Amino acid sequence: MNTKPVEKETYLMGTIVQLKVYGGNAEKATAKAVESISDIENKMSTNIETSEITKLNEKAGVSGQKLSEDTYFVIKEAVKYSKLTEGDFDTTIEPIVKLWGIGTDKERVPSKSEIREKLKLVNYKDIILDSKNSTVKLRRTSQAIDLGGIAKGYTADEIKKVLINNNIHSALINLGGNVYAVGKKTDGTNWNIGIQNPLNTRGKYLGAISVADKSVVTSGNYERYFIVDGKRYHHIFNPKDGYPSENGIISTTIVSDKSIDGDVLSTSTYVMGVTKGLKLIESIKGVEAIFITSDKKVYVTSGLKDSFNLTDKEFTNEKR
Amino acid sequence: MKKGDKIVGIILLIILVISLSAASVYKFSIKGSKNIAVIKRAGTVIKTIDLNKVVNPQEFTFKTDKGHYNTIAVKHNSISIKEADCPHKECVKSGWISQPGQMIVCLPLKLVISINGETNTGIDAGTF
Repeated sequence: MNTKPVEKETYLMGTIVQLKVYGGNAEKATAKAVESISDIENKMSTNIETSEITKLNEKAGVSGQKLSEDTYFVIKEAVKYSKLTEGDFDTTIEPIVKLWGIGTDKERVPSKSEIREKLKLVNYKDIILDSKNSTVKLRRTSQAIDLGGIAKGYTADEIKKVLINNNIHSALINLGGNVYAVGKKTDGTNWNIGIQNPLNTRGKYLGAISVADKSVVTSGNYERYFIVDGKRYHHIFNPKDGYPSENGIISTTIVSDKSIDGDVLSTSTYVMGVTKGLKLIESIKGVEAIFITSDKKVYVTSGLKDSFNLTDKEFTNEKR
Repeated sequence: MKKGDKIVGIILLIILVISLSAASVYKFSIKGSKNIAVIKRAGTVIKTIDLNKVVNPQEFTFKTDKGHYNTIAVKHNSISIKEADCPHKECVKSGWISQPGQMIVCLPLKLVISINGETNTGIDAGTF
């Protein structure tokens, strides 16, 4: 068996994509996977003028936009999770994301009245789904969808599908920190995925989990942010007040079978906070979580007790 | 067998054991000391440096096709991006890295520095 992987590094969806693929067909499978990423980006990015999402947003309040099967599916999933989290996740957050412009050359702290104005546009209940015609419409003018908290997860799932269809049984997919561990290592053991220490430089892990065939997605306040007058403004917004979410959580990691679920739930629970977040995750079968708070406490759901290993002694494992 | 032969045999055996273990210790320590920094631009390797062999601090500047730059500093067992003309300087803020598995990323200029080597952490990938 070929144990040396094909490694591919590319830049898509505003992030770095790293693929490590094992097996005889790895070269071909990797090329196909990269193709599928750019296909999804071309459909779902708000930064691409010809994307389906850009067109949908332009027609807000006027008419619906016919969508490809996968874009429709992702929006449907986004709406499902918006309902489940009662709006702690809201895919119509785009006007707020654009107003702050974090990570762009227009980033700034908007005034309270600007935020109040844009916040009126944020409401997932204004997404009108028409499954028969595969069409989505936004009810009011200037409303807009941003798939930032979900598209990367969907992409990881699609890459996995492409790899498996091309006879790959062992691979690591890393979309800017969203990891999918496909199968097991070639020696038959589980993958060890490091969990970033949110208070240290990238690549410093506070612990690791041992997984096979799982998605591991983290949301953190250190990922994308800017600092004004000593205050840090990060990119995960609370859809209820339009500000970067501040509730003590500084990192959430979700372990799940599907990365689309992990992506949405890591963002949602980041906004919900520890108590509400843990309650939600414990209620969903097959999904587990690790939350880290600014006072260096680590909360782990019951299903991860045996596979998570906290190695950084500065952090304490909270018994619940 | 004479008594002398036996002694010679034992001595030879001892020498063999010592030399074998010395060789494996040597091999292991060299293997473990490898600390190779790989610098890539847009996925293509532009330079590799064995940080373990760096004695005096040095700097290198790499320019993009469009004239943007990252200035990379190295010292014994460590590497950092000292300067860059990217918008947010995230790469410069990352500071020094020194251990296998660590990474500095400059997304706007598509530059990645990673440290390869024998990871004693056993981590296959990181989520962040």
